[in-house]
Amino acid sequence: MRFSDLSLITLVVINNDHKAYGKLVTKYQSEVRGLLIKLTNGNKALADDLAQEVFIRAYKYLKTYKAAATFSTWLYRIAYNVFIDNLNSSRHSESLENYDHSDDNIKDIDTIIDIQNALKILNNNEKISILLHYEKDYSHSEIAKIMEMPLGTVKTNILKAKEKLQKYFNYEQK
Amino acid sequence: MNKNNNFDKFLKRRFQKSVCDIKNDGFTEKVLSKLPITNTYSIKRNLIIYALGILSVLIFFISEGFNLLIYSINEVVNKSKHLITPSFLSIFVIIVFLGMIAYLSSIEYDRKTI
Repeated sequence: MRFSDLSLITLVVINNDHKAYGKLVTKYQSEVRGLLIKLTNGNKALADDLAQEVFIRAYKYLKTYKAAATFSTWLYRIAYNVFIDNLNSSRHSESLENYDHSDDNIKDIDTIIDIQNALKILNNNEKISILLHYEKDYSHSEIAKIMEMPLGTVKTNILKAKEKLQKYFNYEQK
Repeated sequence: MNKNNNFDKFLKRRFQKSVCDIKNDGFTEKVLSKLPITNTYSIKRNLIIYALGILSVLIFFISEGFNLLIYSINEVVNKSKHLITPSFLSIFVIIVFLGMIAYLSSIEYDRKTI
């Protein structure tokens, strides 16, 4: 799988092959858009705008991709930067309950809305850390590299987020 | 430790369950349409090549090169009929003219627009 990404990236970098880049976009668009939808509190229009910006930036800086991390990790780093750059947007107000999910393959809309509401009680750094850790399965050190933060800060973010979520879900320790 | 692990597992289950597969719905095409256009050869370089080519043709005609060319071709043809060696100048003019034609026709405009 990773070799395939590298072949496509090589075609884009050397030949400016848009077709090859289109394949990369198609492959990763769901993950990037999904992450941004959660970060923007369910605002699909804003998430899609940000996601487009992510892929455009990725194209411009593709020559700098060093393959030390997976391509998806590199994309998440760009997504994080794009999201932070757009934090002052006034469009962070729509609810996921208004999100038209009819075209998407959704397993459990109630869980999605539940998670979305839970994420609202977290600050942006806690939100991103929690999503990358529990949804994308990144380790603390990998998250630290993506967010360009000290490892200790990432651990603190996740710990604080977990405390808040524990209260939110009313999760009683057994 | 065990209590913490249970909540970790709980969170992981909830977050994994909340993942959805978002359909492309033209997203890729929108991204591709916004990508910057890059040329394999710079436009400036092509403009310079064309300008130099046109300039050399203009100079040739302005400096009465055309008359000289006709005279040279005439001389080469006539003297060749009589098996006489034409003047060096005539041969030189014809070679220069042929060289110009070859140069102008060898300019390849290979602009890749992506």
